[in-house]
Amino acid sequence: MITRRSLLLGGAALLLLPVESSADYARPVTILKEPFQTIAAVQRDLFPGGGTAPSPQLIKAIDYLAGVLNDPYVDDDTKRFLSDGARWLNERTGEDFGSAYYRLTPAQREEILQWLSGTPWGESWLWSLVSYLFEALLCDPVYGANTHEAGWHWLGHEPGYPRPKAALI
Amino acid sequence: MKQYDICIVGSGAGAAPVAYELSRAGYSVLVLEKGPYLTEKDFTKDEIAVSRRSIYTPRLKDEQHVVETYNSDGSIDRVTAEASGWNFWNGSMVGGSSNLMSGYFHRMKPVDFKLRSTFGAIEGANVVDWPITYEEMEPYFTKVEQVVGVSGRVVEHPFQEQRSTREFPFPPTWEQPISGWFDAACEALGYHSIPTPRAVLPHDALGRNGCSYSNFCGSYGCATGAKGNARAALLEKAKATGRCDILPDVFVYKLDADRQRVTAAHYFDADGNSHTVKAGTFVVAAQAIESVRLLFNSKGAFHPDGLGNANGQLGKNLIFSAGGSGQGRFEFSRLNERQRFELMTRGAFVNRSLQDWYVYRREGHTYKGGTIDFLFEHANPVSRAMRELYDGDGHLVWGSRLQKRLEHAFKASRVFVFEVFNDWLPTDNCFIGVDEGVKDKWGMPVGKIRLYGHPHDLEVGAFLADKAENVLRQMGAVEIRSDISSAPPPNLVAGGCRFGKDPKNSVLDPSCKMHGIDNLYVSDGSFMPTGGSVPYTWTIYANAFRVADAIKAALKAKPNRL
Ligand SMILES: Cc1cc2nc3c(=O)[nH]c(=O)nc-3n(C[C@H](O)[C@H](O)[C@H](O)COP(=O)(O)OP(=O)(O)OC[C@H]3O[C@@H](n4cnc5c(N)ncnc54)[C@H](O)[C@@H]3O)c2cc1C
Ligand code: SF4
Repeated sequence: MITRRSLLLGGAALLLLPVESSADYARPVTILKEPFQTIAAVQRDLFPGGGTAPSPQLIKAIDYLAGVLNDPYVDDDTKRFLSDGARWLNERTGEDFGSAYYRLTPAQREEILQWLSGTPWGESWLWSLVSYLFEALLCDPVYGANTHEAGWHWLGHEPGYPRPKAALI
Repeated sequence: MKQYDICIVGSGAGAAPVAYELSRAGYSVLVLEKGPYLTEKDFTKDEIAVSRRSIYTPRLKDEQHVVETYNSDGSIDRVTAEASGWNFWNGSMVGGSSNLMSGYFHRMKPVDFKLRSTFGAIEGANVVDWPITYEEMEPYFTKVEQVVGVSGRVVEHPFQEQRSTREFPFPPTWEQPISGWFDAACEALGYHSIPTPRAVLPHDALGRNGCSYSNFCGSYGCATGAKGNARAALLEKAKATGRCDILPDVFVYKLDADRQRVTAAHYFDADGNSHTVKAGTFVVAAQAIESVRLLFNSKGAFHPDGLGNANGQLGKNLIFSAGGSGQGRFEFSRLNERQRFELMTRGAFVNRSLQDWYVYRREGHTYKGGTIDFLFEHANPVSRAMRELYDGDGHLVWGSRLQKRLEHAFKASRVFVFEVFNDWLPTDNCFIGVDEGVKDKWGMPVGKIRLYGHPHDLEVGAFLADKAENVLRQMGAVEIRSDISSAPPPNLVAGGCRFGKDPKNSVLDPSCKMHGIDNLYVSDGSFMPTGGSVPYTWTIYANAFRVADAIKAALKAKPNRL
């Protein structure tokens, strides 16, 4: 676990490291493992990409989420909730449709998303997923997401300068 | 052990002027700061680290607060910050939260110093006059303009305060074309548009670089030194005298005191080892909540209820900036090409405020009103995107609908916002204590914050928000709305050690020396009995320069006894 002090003291030293070294915030994950399989499917439904919008795959949204689950600055309750939510969702789709979310048809997934967004925990879970997806879309690429600045290009966003030379987290 | 003339706890806006003045006057000064020593080269525009994860504030798991609120039946709800995520920390680093401020600087006005005698008592509130006048503070406001660096332009308006100089020492920073639209709208409405003074240097000066218009200012450290933060503007210069030592990464957990004097400060270094410092004079400036907590945690044989708490006043009358914010959207589809181009100009500041209702009359009653600042929504893209997550009916949006909303928000419109600042009335129901049952990572009881906003504050805030909405409407914005609430802005906090002539209802005397203690001063925002209807930092800086003069005078009259 990185302590606040070592993190901040390390901040200055980290700036000297090559950019790639910090890209492991969004370390590639085995997408077939839970909760990633379910979350990746929900991410695709929440933000499919297409047109000029980058896809969740391009911005490495699921790998970024894996970084969030390892992030010392994200509290344990949030991490647990992100994983538990995927499990609860599949429990529900199991009851209603007899299979996991990622195996449902688009219409079934839309139906379940409608239901989910109407429950307090579901709304809050979706909100969290989207907020981390937006981070992957719009963060500085030193975090290993927003590949080729695709999110910034899509929305015409100009970053602030000086940009980070390495992830501080 | 090295002994110092002055030992200062904290290094922010309340601390730095004292370090600057005393070291330049030939005294030896030690500054103890719990956060790291970060400088321009450490500051980048990294939204994830700075705004999404808050690397400049402690992790709540390690250090937190307990927050108490009132339920509608009057009972009290208590939550730890770790459980609720409610974060009352601001910047923890050399220079304190002044590193992260936006630098909206307004002077308090003469009327702010005498609220009680001007407006009378308000039921349920502890409003008092300040023990000093605007005239006594004016030279120090001017000093901040010149030493810290404030840019702006003086215009005549109904509540323009008296100044001893005609103009600001620095011209305004580069302004966004929308400032002209704002001026025109105000003229049509008969309002007085005011260029907002900023603690930002428009060009190289005072040994610092001018603004690079990074477009990411508030909440971010400044990579040029243009922002008038306490480190760049004052502490680096104090250090250069060779008489000011700054110790980062040390947490002061207790002051020792005999009946009339503070004798030592104890701190933990980053490895958890405890050290003791002796000095002739001590200054506490750890920001309102933490200063009060330190004084409570410094109880001893002579001060069993906490230092400065002989009359039960310590921690009382905690205040924040009351008000809230609002916004309107400018749609490209309603603008011509030139207007679109102007609207999308990046980096420049809007720099506009209204103070037409600093005092106003309504239904036969005279009210203390406040200030409205206007700006563009923060450039942080993740938070801008998050605003698009709900449709007008409050339903979560996803899929291609969400993508379209994002495209529209970023490429076809721009959101203009305003912030309302009015007085948060001091009351018996809003105060700071310590919670003996919750300890931080050093084993010290954490600060406990009891929150209460007086209904009067909401009434005034809503009145001001209505006026701000008029301007947005006149400018052609759509989707105009505002949110005035009694939710406290944690970054705009003051009170808890208010100053006054009578020890029965104050903690500090008029020079901010603790009543009954010969060598302890408190120089951050906690001295303020009322906040003025402006953000606090200019006042905190100015007062700390005034406190520095008081310390110098005291030392001259009676040199330090260690
Ligand atoms: C995002 C943001 C925007 C802002 N914008 C504006 C603005 O536009 N205009 C304006 O007027 N104000 C603004 N402010 C508020 C302004 O920063 C504060 O009013 C001001 O810095 C408070 O000064 P202070 O000395 O009381 O505390 P700080 O400047 O916060 O300094 C306190 C210091 O004490 C240290 N400390 C605390 N406890 C201990 C301890 N026990 N031992 C050692 N050190 C300790 C802290 O780490 C901190 O560095 C803003 C603040 C923030 C965070
Ligand atoms: S350079 Fe200017 S815009 Fe950027 S942080 Fe500093 S003061 Fe703010």
